[in-house]
Amino acid sequence: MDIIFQIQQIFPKEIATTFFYPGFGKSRDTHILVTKSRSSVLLEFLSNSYQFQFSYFIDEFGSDEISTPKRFKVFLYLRSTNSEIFLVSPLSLENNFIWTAEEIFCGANWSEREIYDLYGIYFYNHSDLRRILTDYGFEGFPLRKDFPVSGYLQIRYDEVLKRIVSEPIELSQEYRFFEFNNPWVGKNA
Amino acid sequence: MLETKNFNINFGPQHPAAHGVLRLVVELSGESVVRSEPHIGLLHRGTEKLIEYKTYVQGLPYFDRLDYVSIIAQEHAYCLAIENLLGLTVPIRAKYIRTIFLELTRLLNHLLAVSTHALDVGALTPFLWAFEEREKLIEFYERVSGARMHAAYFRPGGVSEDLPAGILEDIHKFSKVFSRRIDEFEEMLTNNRIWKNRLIGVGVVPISKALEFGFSGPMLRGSGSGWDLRKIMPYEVYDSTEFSVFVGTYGDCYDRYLVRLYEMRESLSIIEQLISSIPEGFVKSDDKKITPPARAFIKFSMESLIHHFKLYSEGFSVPSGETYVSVEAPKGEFGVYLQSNGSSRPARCRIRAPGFYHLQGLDFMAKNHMLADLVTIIGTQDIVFGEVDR
Repeated sequence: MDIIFQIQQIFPKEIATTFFYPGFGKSRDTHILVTKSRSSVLLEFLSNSYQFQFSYFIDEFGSDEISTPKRFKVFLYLRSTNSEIFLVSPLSLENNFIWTAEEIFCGANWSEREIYDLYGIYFYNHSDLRRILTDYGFEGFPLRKDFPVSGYLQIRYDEVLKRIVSEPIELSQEYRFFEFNNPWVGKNA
Repeated sequence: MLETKNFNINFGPQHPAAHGVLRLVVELSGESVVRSEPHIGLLHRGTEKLIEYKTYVQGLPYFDRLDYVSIIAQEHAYCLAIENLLGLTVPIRAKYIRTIFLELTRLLNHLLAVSTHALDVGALTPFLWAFEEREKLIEFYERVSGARMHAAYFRPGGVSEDLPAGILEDIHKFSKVFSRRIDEFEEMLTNNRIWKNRLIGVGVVPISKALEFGFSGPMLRGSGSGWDLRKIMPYEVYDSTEFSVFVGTYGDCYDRYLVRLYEMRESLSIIEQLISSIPEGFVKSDDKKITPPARAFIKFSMESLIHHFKLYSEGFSVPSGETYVSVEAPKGEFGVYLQSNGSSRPARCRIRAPGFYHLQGLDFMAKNHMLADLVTIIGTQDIVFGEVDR
């Protein structure tokens, strides 16, 4: 329990708020740290300090809530032998930079490339920030909420040019987005 | 002054040993690998984006198509995530059925992993044996769900249908015969001189490196960590079954091969335990707003008809919140982060694929090994591109 308050006292500039969900039974304690800035000193401390030892890197991923001013969030999920920690770093569209976690956790290299690829979030000091999942020469950030699910370009093999060409997408049928309003919401039917 | 230059070659995207569409840019000095850089994304289908535009149940089949050899384990993670958000409890019989099929899936995956690994190294026979066994396992899938591979059998709140009559007996018969098959694998491979020469000391992963790179499953256990989510954070009925977790000592390909093999034996034992103790009861949660009604009810109950229509057109809404669920899929830790905004569609669905992190470690595992060992290492990582590229 007090483990999490200690972190906040040691890093007042980095950490905004903390949450703690105690584990019961065989589940494990979960800590959530919302960061103001995610420095590599903080990560190093979490990974190597005697008390915490969150040295098992599990995951790093982003999310996008378009309606909030700090729409992007970068989640870093670390693990120790007895508890879990999520570092949540909110970012805005204009200020979409964050310090890399790769220096401490090598495994974050590809996750950060993926976040950069899909969300357009930049990582300071990343060794190799290139696109990873999308095609060579792809433009745009597909997991952002304002990116249409059908994309902008389609590719085909051009018989005359003898190569693959990409052209603006043409759908023979409009993309059908089934927007129902749900009569069950908020009702205990 | 004579200068030497390292040789850069492209390995894949179409190569039988690449286990799918892996493009590797390999820098070779003579025949030893200096640097190997995987280029992934050739099978990227935007699963995470597509799921955001589907209802929760419509999103489920996408999980079958991620890692198409450990199909049900991934549906399971997704179902657990939805159940977490809904606060839904699953009936005990459904939990047993799920666990049995999760372990069958582990067999299905490890059979492919071990046998194609052997195929990459040069032993063809185990591959033929394994695929015969896999066919039988796939038949169990077919009998419960109607589909050979992309089962979509687990649903939020339980499983889609109860087990057909006689299937448990057949699984029991299968597992009796199957332990003999594992013995045959062992006879063929474990003490085989060529197999040992090709595997021992190849692709050594120190435990610290494994943790830093986010390795999980047999890749982590091969390095000597007893980390198994089925033990550490038990889900379904794993805490009432007895099984051992096998760990390697050296962290090389041979250790991981043994870990996989012994895991298959443990899976058989888990299946046997569960078959003998499976209770009667419901296989779906009785929350009618979430689980669809049985077909027969639709014929005479108006309520059921309405529920059926609503569930299959707009789906159920999930209260807003977020959750992260990890399960011990055969390949490693498969995680699903699900964010709901109160509608009937997920606001964000993050899929943590174990293969993605394993493939990232290819560079350090293959460094200073021969080009032929690179193939061994890809084999031991048990890469499936459906999940790496998502």
